[in-house]
Amino acid sequence: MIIKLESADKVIFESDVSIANHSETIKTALEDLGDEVDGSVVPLPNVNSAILRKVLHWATFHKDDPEAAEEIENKEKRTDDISSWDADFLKVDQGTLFELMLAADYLGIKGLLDVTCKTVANMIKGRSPQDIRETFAIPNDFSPAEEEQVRKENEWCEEK
Amino acid sequence: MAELNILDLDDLCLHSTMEYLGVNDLFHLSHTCTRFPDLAKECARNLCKNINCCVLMGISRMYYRRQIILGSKYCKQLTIYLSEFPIGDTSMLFDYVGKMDSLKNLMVMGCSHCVLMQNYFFSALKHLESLRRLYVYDSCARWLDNLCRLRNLEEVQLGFDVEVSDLVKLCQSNTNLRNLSIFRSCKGNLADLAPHCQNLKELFFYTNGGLYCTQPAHFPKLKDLSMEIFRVGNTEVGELASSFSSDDSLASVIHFDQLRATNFEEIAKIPSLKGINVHCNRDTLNCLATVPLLEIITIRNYEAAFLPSLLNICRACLQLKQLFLFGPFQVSYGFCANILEVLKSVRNPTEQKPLEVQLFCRMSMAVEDLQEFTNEYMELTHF
Repeated sequence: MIIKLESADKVIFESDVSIANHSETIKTALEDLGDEVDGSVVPLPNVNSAILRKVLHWATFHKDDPEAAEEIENKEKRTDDISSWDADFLKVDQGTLFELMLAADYLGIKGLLDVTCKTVANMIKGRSPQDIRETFAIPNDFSPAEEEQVRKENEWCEEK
Repeated sequence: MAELNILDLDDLCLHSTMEYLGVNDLFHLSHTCTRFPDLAKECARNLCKNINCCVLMGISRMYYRRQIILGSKYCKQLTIYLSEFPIGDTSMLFDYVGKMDSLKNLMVMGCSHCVLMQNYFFSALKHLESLRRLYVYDSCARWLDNLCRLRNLEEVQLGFDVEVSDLVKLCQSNTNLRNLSIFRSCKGNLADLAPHCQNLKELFFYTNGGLYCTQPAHFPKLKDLSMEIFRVGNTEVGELASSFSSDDSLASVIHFDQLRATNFEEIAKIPSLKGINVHCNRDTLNCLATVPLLEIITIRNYEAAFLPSLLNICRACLQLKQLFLFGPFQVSYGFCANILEVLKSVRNPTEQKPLEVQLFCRMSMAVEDLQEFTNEYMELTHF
């Protein structure tokens, strides 16, 4: 069955329900519509058309994925298991990457949220605070007192 | 619309991302701007629940110190080797330990050089309402004065020489104490301790003399008593044994180095004696066979020549649940077959679980043959 999704900028997308159901948010909306689902449009006011197009592209490719197993709580989670297709899919500018992450979170698509988070985590890993600031254009807004505390903590943790 | 920045992500997305970072990366991220420190600490909670500050264990100093900073709010178990924090390098440590509101278990070691710092350390600890278990090793009795400043301890293990009079002060200030273990020499009148330990369930002490009991020591809730007794005269053993003998709900475990038959008469009078841990000699093993209600027997330095005595124990101690044997003997097929034959003749597998036999020694039989000796009568494990 084909359903219609409306992006924030009023663009209508058609999608097979089995693909759209990857999104918990859409799945719940369709359940609420019940028998009236045919011909209805599901509005997605938090996702623009460019991002929704990409999300549907991702969901179509992953439509047959099995459910991911829960990871062990106390261990650092892996980030080196991103598939080559996903890695290529996420070769986008940072703004798009963050929009995809927000969309995945809003739409409740765990697989997409996980892989975008892993990608951002990989951009943080192994970098110094200054490198992280430069990578993500983060302004240093610490007060002088906070800067002093940061300096002390770093000094205390140094290998001597 | 302007391109989104990482700071435009909501806390949920940042949290989901930071869950993929380890301690070092979270520490770096927390030092980039004011948005991240609290989130980083929240995300590090599972990585910092158990902090072990020991480079000898292969944990880098940088790593565990970052854990202390990130995990101060969520750390539940902390092991500190104070010798790794030279004097002058401890104030930051004490600051962060003082903020560990969730800390339940604290193990402190390597602290003999740090007597002067103890006051500061315990000043930090005394505000930790959740601290329940404290283990202190390699130290000196000066710690006890400070331990008395804590109020909520339920379990205390001490690895230094103590006097019963000092323990009394500890127990007076920690009235919910349930487990007290003294792993070094304990001296004084044990009866003095009893009135202040109304909630004590487990007591372990070690003595090589100087511990006595002038009257029966009644610990109303005591369930497990372990005594490790070395080179102690007959009279003292008798006193200690008889001081606990009135309470039949007690499960006693007694450790000896050389158990003589004359000692054993007093020990065997403890009606609730369930476990015993002895060094092997012929007298000892013969004595064990006279206490049929024993459930756990540990024999150290077992030698093959004592097999007949060991078989007698298996015949006599019908309540036996666990038997631990430590070498130097070599376990052979014949040895295992002999034990199994005796167990088959005296035990009822429909009413009893198999006897757990654990052997800590060398082996002169094929490993696969061990499987023959795990059945309804015994479960044989070799280490």
